[in-house]
Amino acid sequence: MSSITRQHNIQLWVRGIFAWLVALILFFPIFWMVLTSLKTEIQAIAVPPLLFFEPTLENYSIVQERSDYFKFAMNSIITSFGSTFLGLLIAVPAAYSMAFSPTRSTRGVLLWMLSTKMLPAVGVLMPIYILFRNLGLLDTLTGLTIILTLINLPILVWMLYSYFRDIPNDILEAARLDGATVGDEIRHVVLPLGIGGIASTALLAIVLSWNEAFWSLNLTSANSGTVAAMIASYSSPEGLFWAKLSAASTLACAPIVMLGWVCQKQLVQGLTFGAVK
Amino acid sequence: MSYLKLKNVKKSFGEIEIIHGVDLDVTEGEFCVFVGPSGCGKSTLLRLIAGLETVSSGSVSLAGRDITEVSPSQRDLAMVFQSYALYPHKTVRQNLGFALMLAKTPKDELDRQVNEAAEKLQLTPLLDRKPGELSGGQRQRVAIGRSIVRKPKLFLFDEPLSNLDAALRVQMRIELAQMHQQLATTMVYVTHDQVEAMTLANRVVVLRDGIVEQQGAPMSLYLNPINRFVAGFMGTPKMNFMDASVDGSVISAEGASIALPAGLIAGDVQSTGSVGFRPEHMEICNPEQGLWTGEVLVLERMGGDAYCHVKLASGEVLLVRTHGRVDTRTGETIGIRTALDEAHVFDGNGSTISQRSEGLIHAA
Amino acid sequence: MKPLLARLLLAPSVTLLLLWMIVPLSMTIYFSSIRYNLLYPGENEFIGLLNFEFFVTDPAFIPSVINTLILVGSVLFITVVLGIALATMVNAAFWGRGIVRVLLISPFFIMPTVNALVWKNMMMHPVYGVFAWISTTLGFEPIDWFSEFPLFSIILMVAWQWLPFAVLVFVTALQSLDQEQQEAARIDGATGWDVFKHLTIAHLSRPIAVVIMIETIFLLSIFAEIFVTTGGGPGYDTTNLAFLVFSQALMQYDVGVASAGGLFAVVLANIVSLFLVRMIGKNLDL
Repeated sequence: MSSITRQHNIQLWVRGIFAWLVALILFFPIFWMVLTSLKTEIQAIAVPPLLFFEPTLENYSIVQERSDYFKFAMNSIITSFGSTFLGLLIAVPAAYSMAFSPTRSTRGVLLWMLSTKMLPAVGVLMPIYILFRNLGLLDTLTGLTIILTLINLPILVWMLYSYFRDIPNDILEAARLDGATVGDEIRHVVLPLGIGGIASTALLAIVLSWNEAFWSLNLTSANSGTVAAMIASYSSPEGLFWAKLSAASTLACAPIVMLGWVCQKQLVQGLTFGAVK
Repeated sequence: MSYLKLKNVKKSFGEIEIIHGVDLDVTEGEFCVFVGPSGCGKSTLLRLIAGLETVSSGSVSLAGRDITEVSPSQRDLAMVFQSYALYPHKTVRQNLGFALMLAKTPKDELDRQVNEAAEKLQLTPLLDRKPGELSGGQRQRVAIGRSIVRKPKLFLFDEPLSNLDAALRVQMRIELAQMHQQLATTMVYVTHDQVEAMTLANRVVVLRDGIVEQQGAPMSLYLNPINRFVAGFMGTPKMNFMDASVDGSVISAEGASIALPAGLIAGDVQSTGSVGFRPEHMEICNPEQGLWTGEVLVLERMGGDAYCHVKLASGEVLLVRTHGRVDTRTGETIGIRTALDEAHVFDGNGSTISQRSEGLIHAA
Repeated sequence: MKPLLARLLLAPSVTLLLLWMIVPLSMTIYFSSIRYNLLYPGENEFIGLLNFEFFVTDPAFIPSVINTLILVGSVLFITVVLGIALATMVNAAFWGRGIVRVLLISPFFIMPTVNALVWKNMMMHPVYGVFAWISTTLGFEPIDWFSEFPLFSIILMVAWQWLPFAVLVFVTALQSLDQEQQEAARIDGATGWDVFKHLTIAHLSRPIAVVIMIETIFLLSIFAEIFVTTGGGPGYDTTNLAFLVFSQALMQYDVGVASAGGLFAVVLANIVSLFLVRMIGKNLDL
């Protein structure tokens, strides 16, 4: 083995160890949270913190009993999937139109859409709250779904736009020459080739909606509270119950974290609007 | 009667006019090649015929029908794209049958036609593969097959061979020529390679900066180019040009005085311009016997031929073709002779003032 | 596609977003100019800029603006600098690289509220937290993070959450680095550091721009973490503009003043976004 190769290998080794260390440190809080969820309350507040103990699942059942996790989870599922579906219905035509018939104003429109996302929610909190109160939408799933659709719409349009642009134009021209109408084009070319992008977009929208805290906390209550709200209810220090808190948190985050694991590449591409491939 | 007719077609993108009034008449069954340097507008012209771009003014008609305002899907023509533009998510079979499927052709008929086209192009073993699994040459065949299946009135080709390696290109050229003979469909073919133009075309259209410089049979353009541009574009290697002055039928160029054969130049002309000789019409010889003498800069041996780059006293470099086993080396002083009846004479504006017959010669 | 059809397809999203922007915004403008307190309904007279004056002279105002800027700036700095460093380290073919990536990106998917609670109660708690245990083991007094360094604690939490995003983006970008370019530079005599400085960073300029833009969008309106941990305190130490508006509105029920504050936040966000879009918009390959 030449000395260059050996040097390279050592470097690789060092980087590997370093990377593992950093990853473990960064992941530690999550690991600790899951670990704590398996402890009893007494074990959870042990000093020094316990690493080895007998795990128990009692916290999970208590959380379900006490705060009805499933109800909150159902609400989260309904609002995140619902808002994503609605969002796609509106965003797909918009992205299609901008990707395949760009005009001079296309760039401006896209940047404007992005800027609406910079609108701080607090700026519109009052009117929306009062509007919802007057329309009877407070603490309803419908109300929250509508808001979630609106706040994610710019991201949906951006992501879909960047995916649609990846479809080579000459394939569409070939389809046109083969006799395809606009409908045929969409059905036989755009959708099949774009389905990966549409799926990634949907995934990201679901993640963002699920984790959304501001509107979920302010517009909902007992009826339509999502998992985010459920967690917030555990924040008041009525006694030390970190094991249960951890269990609740794990339940809240697990689905999305696993989703994220599976789809990391697509999510990056989408979230950076395709700028980074 | 012309089958494909372009009348005063103009195309502008915004403020910039790309195509400045092109007239074209292509007869049925003809293989017409658009050729020219990059940016001359040949691809744009092709896309205008296809309907992928709309004309700014002028008209396009096919088989007597005005298609200027007709959408591409209704023009009854097929196009092979430079990138092939195959549907990556469909199998070869589905690619070939796509247009028929859209036209709601019954399944048996569709299968029959697809199989027939696949047979013709030796694609049958590949029918169930996807484009991603095919080689460049195979993909190109699928692109051609997709066009054949539709039995269109007109075939359009946009530089179909430019993505292939040299050997494959030669092979595909021959296959295209044979395909044209077999199918007898009218074809319009765009390329920047004038060798393809010479070998494939019945009619060559040379374009530069959005206008047609000359159109006609390949040999016609080779023998009688109407200006310096076409003379320098057609024929490989490129024609040698020298500044010259014309006095009746005597040319003075680079210090040599040449008496041209009678009839080469019509009338009695006095002007300054240039003269051109193709490398294949010149030969090297002893310095005393040559019209010009110079120093050999580079000698390229191709095997059967050799190309000699000779630098004259004035600095002008001439390219002369000679046989492969010539005994000459760089630095040597050499003479150049030329066949006088192969001179191309141009006036001060670059227009040709010489003329020759275009008869072909029987093999003895 | 005919231009008319294209516009029709675009219409629903543009209309909705326009409505979403204009309707609440105009209502906010209206509310900010009247006296509107939920505890005293019916006394809604026009008071012009009084609400703004009230909001701006609130002792919490200047601190909240400063806190907002510190918060956003610090997190941006940490995530970008550390992000690049980590990305270059991780971008090598060592054993278990896939797992490392998975571990690294996990914090990004954690709900902000959970994030906050885990850090407050289990990591930084002065008695039972992991940090406390580490300090006592090393012989130091454990620090009550949220009391002594509240803003820093929030910055730490948020940076932890966003670091994975930056790392993921940069790792992906690094994978498209042109190997040939690096090899050419090496042959030309460049050292590893030269290559990093001149080629890698230049290649990363676009992803950096994108990361800054996206993070800023989300960081300007950080709310949940503050709500769940410090409630804006101690004093106004961790109140940012978003939280200030929230506390005015839903804790003091003064819609008028809250609306004025909301408008400030909108103006701030617009200034930032105009600046960013101009600087970075061209990097987005439109």
